[in-house]
Amino acid sequence: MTYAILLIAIFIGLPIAFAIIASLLYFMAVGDFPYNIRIVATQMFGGLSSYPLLAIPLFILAGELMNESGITSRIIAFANVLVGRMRAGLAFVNIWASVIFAGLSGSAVADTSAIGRVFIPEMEKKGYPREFAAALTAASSVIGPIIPPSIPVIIYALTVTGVSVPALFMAGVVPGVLLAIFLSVYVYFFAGHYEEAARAKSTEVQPSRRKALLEGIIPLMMPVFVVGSILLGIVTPTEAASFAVAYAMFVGIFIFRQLKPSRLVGLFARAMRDSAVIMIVIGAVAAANWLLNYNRVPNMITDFAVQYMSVKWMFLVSVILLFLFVGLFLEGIAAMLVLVPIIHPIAINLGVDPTHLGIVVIFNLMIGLITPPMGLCLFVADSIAKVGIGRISRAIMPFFLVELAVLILITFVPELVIGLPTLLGLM
Amino acid sequence: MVSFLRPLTKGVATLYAAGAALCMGLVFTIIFVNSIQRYTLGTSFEWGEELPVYLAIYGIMFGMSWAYMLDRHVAFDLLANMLPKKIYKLVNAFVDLGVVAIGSLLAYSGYLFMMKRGKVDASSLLSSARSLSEFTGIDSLVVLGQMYPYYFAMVLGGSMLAVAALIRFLNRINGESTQSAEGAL
Repeated sequence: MTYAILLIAIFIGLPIAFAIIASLLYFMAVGDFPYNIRIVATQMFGGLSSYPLLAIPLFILAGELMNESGITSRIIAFANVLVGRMRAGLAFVNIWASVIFAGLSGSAVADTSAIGRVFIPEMEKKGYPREFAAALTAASSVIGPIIPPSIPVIIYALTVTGVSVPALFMAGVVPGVLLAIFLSVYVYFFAGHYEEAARAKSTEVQPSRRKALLEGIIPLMMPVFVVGSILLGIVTPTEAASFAVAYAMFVGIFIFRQLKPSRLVGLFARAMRDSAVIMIVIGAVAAANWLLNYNRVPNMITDFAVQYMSVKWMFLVSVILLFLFVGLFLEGIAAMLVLVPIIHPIAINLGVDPTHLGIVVIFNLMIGLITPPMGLCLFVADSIAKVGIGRISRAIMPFFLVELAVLILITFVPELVIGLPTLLGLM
Repeated sequence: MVSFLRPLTKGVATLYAAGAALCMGLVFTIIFVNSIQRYTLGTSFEWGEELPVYLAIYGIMFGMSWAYMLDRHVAFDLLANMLPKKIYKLVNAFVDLGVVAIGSLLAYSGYLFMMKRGKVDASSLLSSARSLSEFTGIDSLVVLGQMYPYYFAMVLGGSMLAVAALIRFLNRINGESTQSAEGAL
């Protein structure tokens, strides 16, 4: 009955966090569980009482501040200078602006929204079909949570033992850049069909290369500084996130002079609201996980899986299929919080590196952001392009296949993931 | 009803937004100042790690309730969207009422939790709370060294969520948009 309530609640459109809370409240109040509903609040509070988790609202706030400071146009200008003159220049700029943006926001949805507003109309002007522009924007936004700093990485590190945030951050760099390269290669050949697209040149958008480079370096210093200080062990991710906020504020108010101090209260409020949407899922899933653990559900699944899954590759294929399927229907963070504690012991048992597993899982779930019916990035891109989910869904298929190819590559060549953190002595 | 609803929606949303902003501002300030202090002076506040966590939980409760008013939570609404318009409206109204119930039960759950475990000391806040009480002469401030005020976040969060859902329900049945729930900030 509890699971029936959960499913019905989700299918009628109740927010996922509240659907989980509703089913737990039912189970404890009406079901034959020997505890009372106090457990729900106790476990939610416990799940949220974590100092490392505070990095999430702080990174979201830093992203909000950067956006308000006119950072998006500067990143686009910077990427334009670097790759805009190539064939299919504007599509290239779209992809590589996402790579740079990834170092600032760590959120794919924020990336789709910020970059899409500029690129979708601009690419259409240059001859790209509107749905292609929207699909490319959504597809390249997936890079955001893979390249550090990354919110899903922080959550993954809190969910499992034996992994460090710095190692995971570095582990995401090569897969993120690899994805950008694969998308670029696809676009390079695909853009040949669009005569006008091939003529898109950077100088049409950005008249001063020097100014664009200089202004682009300032926001780029933030990820370098944040990730660098974490890697060097100088600060914790939460402290680094607070420095990122201070830096974004300083740049916005004193250097770019586009951030008005009077807007800060509104930005603080929005950052906390958007964080709350993620954090309440974390709290609800923490309560649900307690219940699952109490009933030894993860142990039963692990025992069953270990019995039938004795080969590493079989486990990795199952992980890919499972997370791709779950990603179709469930929000990524909720899926990660529920499933990772279950698959982690199996992975350890089979000798899969937890850092490698983390990046594979995150990459997998990020692909879920561009697949219907629950692809959040797809919805955001459509809200800008207004071509309909059906058309964007068709246009995104080639990009989905490209991303799947990269996922398979990083899954079966673990050196692509763990090579860099190992080289840096983080593992 | 409608003329009363709009200012009520805006007022409640502004209150939630202000609470969220205040918590976010305090969390950032404490963590940032504490870190700077640690790396420059080699000292830090005793409560510098515990207090921001509890403030963030308060912030989450404000943000969660505000986000509900604005329909910003992650939900699987594909099937609901496929329903005929009339039934869709009914389902949404039912969802709002469901969230009123969930919020109320969460507040009750939080109350039971607070009453059962609130006496526990907040380890890093205890001595500061005592000092504050001695300094101001207000004995009741000692409670800041216990978990009561921090566990209360769950009671407040559940109550605020119930109010947010009720307001959204009233807006829905009156055919009003929740645009005013953006608040005044």
